[in-house]
Amino acid sequence: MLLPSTVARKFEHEYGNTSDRHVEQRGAVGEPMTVHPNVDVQSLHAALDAARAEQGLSWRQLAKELGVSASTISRMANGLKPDVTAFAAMTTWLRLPAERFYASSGAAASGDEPELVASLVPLLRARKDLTSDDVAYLEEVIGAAARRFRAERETRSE
Amino acid sequence: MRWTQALMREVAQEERAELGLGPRDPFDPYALADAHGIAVYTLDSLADYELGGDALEHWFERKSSTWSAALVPLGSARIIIENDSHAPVRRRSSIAHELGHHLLEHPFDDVILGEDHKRQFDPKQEKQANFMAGELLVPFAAVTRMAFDGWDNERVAEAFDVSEQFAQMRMYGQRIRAQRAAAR
Repeated sequence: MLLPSTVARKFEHEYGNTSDRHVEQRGAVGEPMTVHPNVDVQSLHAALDAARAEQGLSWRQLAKELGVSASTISRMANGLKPDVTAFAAMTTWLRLPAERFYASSGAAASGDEPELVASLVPLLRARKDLTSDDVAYLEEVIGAAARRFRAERETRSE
Repeated sequence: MRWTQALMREVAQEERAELGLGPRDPFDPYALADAHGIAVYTLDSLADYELGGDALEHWFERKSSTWSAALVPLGSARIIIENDSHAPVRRRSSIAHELGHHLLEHPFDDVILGEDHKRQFDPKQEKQANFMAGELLVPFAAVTRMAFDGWDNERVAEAFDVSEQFAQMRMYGQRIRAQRAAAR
């Protein structure tokens, strides 16, 4: 198995050797397994992103290494938690303790959203096929979509 | 990543299989977006989030034909905004196209506005997203079978919930192959 060495080293430095730590993967027989309620999905996704970039893997290739579907990782990028089996596969692959990705109560889903729309504006303005009206109205559309996204994310995390 | 048609077809097949679809089953692009946690917002729904009437009128009426959908990055998240003034078959095709960009992990500076603005885009990525939309909506395995079974565009369109124009685009190459095979 390929190991994301830099990420592992960084966290081993912070948390000590983690190779013998395990994640509880099995609940009582027949019970659905759910991941820790305060898993910090953004941090886990960011750690996977850094590790896969170091290895030159696409997200889909990473998903195959982890034995999860590509949609599992897309869902994390969109703030949704993986199931416990996928979570264990990810932390094992990262060689990081599962606890590293437990946010303190209430902090897991909040995170600092970057200025979501501002980064898109230069892309719109660079488009020579759009009139100035088109750009202005698209900025409005994306701004409204970002407001809806934030509102629904807040509702989901409550 | 270098995407060949075979690799893209494999991705589309994986995603359809994740939804429990066989080659002859119609594909629901909204279900795939949901499986990936990608919210799809209609333009109309954004009126509740302070989208002004002028912007709605611009994209619904004055420039309706020029913009179908957009895949938008919000941090690590992705959303799709769609122009719901278009016919359902066109909307399905537009969403599938945007999902194609997502599934192929295209970088964002080229894909933000969707298929209607392809003049300024990397044409290779646009072709790839179109290819993915075709494979998601009407997979090659089904196309081949239907071509050899003599299905016309209307029948294909109805079975897969696509436009007849889309059906023609998908069926054309394999129909020629089927006709040549029959002539031998």
